[in-house]
Amino acid sequence: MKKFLTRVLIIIIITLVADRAFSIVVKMFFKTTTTTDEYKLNSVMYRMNDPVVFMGSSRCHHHYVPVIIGDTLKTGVYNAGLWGMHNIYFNYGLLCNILEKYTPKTICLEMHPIDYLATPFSQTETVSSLDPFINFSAGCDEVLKKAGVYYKCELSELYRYNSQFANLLAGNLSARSFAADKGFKPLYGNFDTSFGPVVPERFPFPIDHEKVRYLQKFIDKCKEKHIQLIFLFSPMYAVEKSNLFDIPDSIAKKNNIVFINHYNLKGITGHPEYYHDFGHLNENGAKKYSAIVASELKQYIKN
Amino acid sequence: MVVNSINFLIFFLVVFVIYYFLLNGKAKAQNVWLLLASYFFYGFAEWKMIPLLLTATVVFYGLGIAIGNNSETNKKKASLFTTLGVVAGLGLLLYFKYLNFFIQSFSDFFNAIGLQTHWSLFSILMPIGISFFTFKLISYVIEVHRENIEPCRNFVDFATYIAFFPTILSGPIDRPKPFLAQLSKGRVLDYELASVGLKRIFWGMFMKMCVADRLSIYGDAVFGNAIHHNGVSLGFATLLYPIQMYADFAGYSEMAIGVGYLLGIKITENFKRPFFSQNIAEYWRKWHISLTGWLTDYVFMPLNVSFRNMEKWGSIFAIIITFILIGMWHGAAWTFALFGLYHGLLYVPLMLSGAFFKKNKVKKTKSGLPPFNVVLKMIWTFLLVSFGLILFRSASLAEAGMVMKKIATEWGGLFVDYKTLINGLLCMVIMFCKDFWDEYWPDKHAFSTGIINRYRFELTVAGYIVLILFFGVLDGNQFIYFKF
Repeated sequence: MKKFLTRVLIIIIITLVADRAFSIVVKMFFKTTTTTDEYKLNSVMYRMNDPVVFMGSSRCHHHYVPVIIGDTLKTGVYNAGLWGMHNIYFNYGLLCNILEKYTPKTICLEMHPIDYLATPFSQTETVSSLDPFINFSAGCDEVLKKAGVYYKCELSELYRYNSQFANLLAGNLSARSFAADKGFKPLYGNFDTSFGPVVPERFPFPIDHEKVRYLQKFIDKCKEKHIQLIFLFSPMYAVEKSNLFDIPDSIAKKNNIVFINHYNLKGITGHPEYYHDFGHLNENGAKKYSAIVASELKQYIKN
Repeated sequence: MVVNSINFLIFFLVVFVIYYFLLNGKAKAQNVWLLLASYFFYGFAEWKMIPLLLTATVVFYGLGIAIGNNSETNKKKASLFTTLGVVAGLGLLLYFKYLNFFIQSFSDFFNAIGLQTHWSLFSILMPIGISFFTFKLISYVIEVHRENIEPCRNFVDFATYIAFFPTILSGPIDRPKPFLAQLSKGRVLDYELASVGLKRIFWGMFMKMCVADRLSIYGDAVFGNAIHHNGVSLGFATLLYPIQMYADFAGYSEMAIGVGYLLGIKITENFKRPFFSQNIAEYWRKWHISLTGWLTDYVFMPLNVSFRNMEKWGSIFAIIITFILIGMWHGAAWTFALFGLYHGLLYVPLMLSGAFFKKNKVKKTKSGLPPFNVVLKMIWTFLLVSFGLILFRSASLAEAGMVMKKIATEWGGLFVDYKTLINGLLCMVIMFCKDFWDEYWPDKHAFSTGIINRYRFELTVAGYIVLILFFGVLDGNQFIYFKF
């Protein structure tokens, strides 16, 4: 038994040493990768210092052109939205990490039903993108614990970069640079509507009180740091009358937050030439929408 | 509680510590402890089915003794008890697994010929692991009847054999003789056996978490929306599916065997690198060995004897029936029956040509590699297996037909999910290389001298863990075979 336990102990020691050693190498590659998600997270966490920050999921990532909005607002703007169904859990953790580095003046949060409805997709698993940033802020650690990955990440430094091999490889082999885009990533090509009428995306899910609680925490954090918070909803291709916005409307009213809802925006909604797919604007659509939304934001954001 | 979970680790540590530190070498106490642990494990998965498991165990324990008591004096009675056992075992399976399927099929049939029927389906909760423990129960009464084993007169030992926690949910299907013999002796920690067990657990975890769960992300994305994917993507997913299945099921078997080894109990091997098979018969000798072995002994052999008057065609008939049963064992659906029939039919040319009866040895060139013609045969066998698994993977015959039609006719760009594919394929290559090494160079070691050689075992296990941490899906799917 003693011999066997010694063997187990040696395995544990080798594993811990290898885990730490490999994680140093992987972390280095993580910091230098140009792959969109990882590059962006690094930029948001270490390089971003703009007074106006846009946050949200892929619809934020692809819809708000910081250069256009910044020119109108005469201030620095950064798009911190991330591709994929990153919901309020992720954005709360990200906000807490950003606040550890600096305090933006204004945050524009692109709302999505995944931020307040109990969707079968996009739950706490979305915070795993923040695994490499464990111990960055109490808020980030809180959501990592909520997702059940905190202790795994504490135990293994390598696990923080789990499944990242492909991205790190591709991102370190290519010489792309997104620095000039300030976080915005355009989508190309027009939405193909030739296959028939497009039905509006529906979200027949009940309210998720835990997500709403985190949305309120997000708001409270901004209040605490005297950050102006604005809710946004960018246009969809196909729309219908619905009560989809009752929850964000009431939260915005309760907290005295401006909610600019462009779910159905004349001149963009229903125009396939401005869309990449039913939920995402293409580059032209994003530019047009950014110009529209920038002039509106000008009323609320004062330098 | 899956074997590759933190819950299981805690559970197993408690079992292990008490097993060796408090009860070391005391057979009776260790068996009682194993039985309690096994029922706790099963109850954790499905506590409502514990009475069923216990009742079935009591009944078959009694039947075993009754058969044993009558085997010398009253053979007719012994046969009757054996028949009763087989019928009871099959009855359990039929009721819990197949009753609704047969009702639905009869209803569909009568409706198809114009006779309107209104049959109601039953709401039956299928006990987890039923396909595995009923086969153990049936195997036990047959073995007692054949006088290959003495009836077990220790209820704890028998119940431990049936409910042994590493194998109850997903096999391997252990035979009573070697298993019960191991329970009769007290177990002290066997350093070599436990070390191998540890290594196999982590290798199994690598197979499951890095290969199976990674590839399943791609497979689920494509097969889950088969109607929206073209033939190229479906074809590619079809080729990945046998590898996913192998990594999933063989991965579980490795872990179960490893856990058994740590407890000093040798469990039946279930896989022997099936993708290095040169024909379908060899493939089935290496795939889910405990199931195919069971069906060979208790179905194919008796059928083959019954049909001996038909000579070669009798054997063919027997093998087709056996394979339909293998297919149906996996689930109550016509897709599984057809999957079995497909494999049975693949045996026909082998049986007619006599290749079925030949055991293929591992053929190597001077450099220790397989010859080119052997590689071609392996690829062909793999393609046949992959094609058959379309039936296995599909929810209905219509869906299987649609997938096959798309593969044959709808060409286009491949759906690529780089992150999943690069990680999954890389781990798949690692798995393949290890299997290749074990198959062709079993006695060769990469580092035979120096400090690396001294700590080769520890480095290997640590290497598996590091790979799992970096590539593994730590919150992945259930094991595919849990649902069978």
